[in-house]
Amino acid sequence: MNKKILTLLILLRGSLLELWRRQDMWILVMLMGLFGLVALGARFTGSHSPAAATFMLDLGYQLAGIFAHFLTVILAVRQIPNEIENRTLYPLLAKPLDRDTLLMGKWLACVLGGLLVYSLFVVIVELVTPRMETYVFATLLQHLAVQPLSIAWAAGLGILLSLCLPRGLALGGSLLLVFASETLFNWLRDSISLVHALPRFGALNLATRYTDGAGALTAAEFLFLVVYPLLWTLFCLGTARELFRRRAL
Amino acid sequence: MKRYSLFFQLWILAALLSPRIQFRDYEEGRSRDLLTRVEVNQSALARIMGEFRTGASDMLFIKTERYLHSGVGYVPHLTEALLSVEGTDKGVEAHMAEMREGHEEEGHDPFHHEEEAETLVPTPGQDYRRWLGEMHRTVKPWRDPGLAHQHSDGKELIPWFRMMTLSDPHYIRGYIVGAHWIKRHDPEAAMKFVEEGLIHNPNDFQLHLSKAFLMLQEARRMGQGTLETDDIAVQGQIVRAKRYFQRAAEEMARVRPREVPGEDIADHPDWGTYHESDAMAAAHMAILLEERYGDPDTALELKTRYQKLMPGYERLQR
Repeated sequence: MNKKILTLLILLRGSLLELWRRQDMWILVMLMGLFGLVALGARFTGSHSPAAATFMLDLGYQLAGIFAHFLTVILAVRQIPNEIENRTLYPLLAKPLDRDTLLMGKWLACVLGGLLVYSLFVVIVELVTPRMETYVFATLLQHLAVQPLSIAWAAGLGILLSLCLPRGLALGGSLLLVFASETLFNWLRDSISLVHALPRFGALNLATRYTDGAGALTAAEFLFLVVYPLLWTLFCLGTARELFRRRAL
Repeated sequence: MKRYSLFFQLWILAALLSPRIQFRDYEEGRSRDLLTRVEVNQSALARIMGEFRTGASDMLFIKTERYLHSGVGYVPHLTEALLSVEGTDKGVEAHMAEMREGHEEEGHDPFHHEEEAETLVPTPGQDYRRWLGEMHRTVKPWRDPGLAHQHSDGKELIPWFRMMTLSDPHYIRGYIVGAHWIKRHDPEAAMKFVEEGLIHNPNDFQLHLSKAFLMLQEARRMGQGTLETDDIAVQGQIVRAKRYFQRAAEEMARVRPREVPGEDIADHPDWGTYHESDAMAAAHMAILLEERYGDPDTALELKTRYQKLMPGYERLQR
């Protein structure tokens, strides 16, 4: 196997092991499990009206997205600062491993971790919530296709901010941008056109559109929705790469 | 430096793409269906999940009810009748009238309001938490549900309506209910608030109706309590209100589902009782004002049109 790929796989394994051992993930899994129990209980006791069932479906997808993004961000912001703090970065770089590969490996590990958690939560939502109203399946597919891009972007943003801010600030800033920037955008979009420069994670969330029974986006709209996070991810990773390369260790 | 410039260009590109990913304005969904919101608010599950069960605007809407009750949390008790534009206006007016009456009677607490509703924090008799429940009732605003509610004058509610429409500019209910509260303190600001709603939702018939009612009330105020005056300013205001009633009726006709014989239109999944109530008000007022202050032939045309559209509305069939 190519040496570079092997190195990447080792980095991935290390970061996923860290995720497995951290309590954050288990707390989120427990919370999601709690949602599952409530939804399942309501389903078996037959206390679902169509509107309440749709609400549970929407809540489930929202929670799955929120938890997966949350976990991705907290994983991403501590990857490199932790390695520096624990001085484990030096033996890693002393091996024939360049900084770019290390950065990519860390980012991929965060994305994979986020995706694993997201997939698990989506399975829980699908299993426990009934569908009592009409929904457009294509909208769900679009939502599920865009969310991984959103997670990849959140991981890139977390790594970028962790390279230019102290860890606490990087975490707070990343979470704020991931969860609140769309609200800020909606608030100010009519008065300040510069808000379009804000990262709009909320725009990638089609869960409510799906549970509202709205139709799928057109091919052009969907294309824009795919290109948008890709541009942002490239921006985050590219800038992070430059910062990491110039960083004195 | 060259590389940073490349990343900066990517950022600019993403910013330019941002207006292209504005997909919140879909019309075919259920998110704007107020009846669904009411139904969800009444479900046991929604109560279990607490206030975070709804979107930010719904949460803020619930907050207004809490503020109206001097901080005491009651189980939401909005009825469908109170959701229509006229229902909102009457509800707010009745509340304000009670408070005015209260001020007139000596020794009467003006903030009292008789109503039956369960509190979110249970009464001592129903609370299994014993001392913990007692502490909860002490540290949070709480009032025995058997006693009359303590209502505030509504001023504290106004910022919440502002916030809910900022967080969701398509939250029609926020604009309508907000405008009717603002009107009691500043009619001009109320009109501006509804107009702001119309900028974001230019085709919403309930907002046009709300604006028309506000204009008509302004005309009545200008005519010192009556519309039957020769004052040109009043007549001009009535004609402007008439245009908005007619626009509301036109928009209503565009979105109202087709009636199926033998079925109540209020049972239609996309059309609630409050929609129908507002639809009737829009059609009725559009015809009435045209009849009295416009052209009788046009009024007859309108009547024929809306009679066909709303065969179940008896008042139009006369």
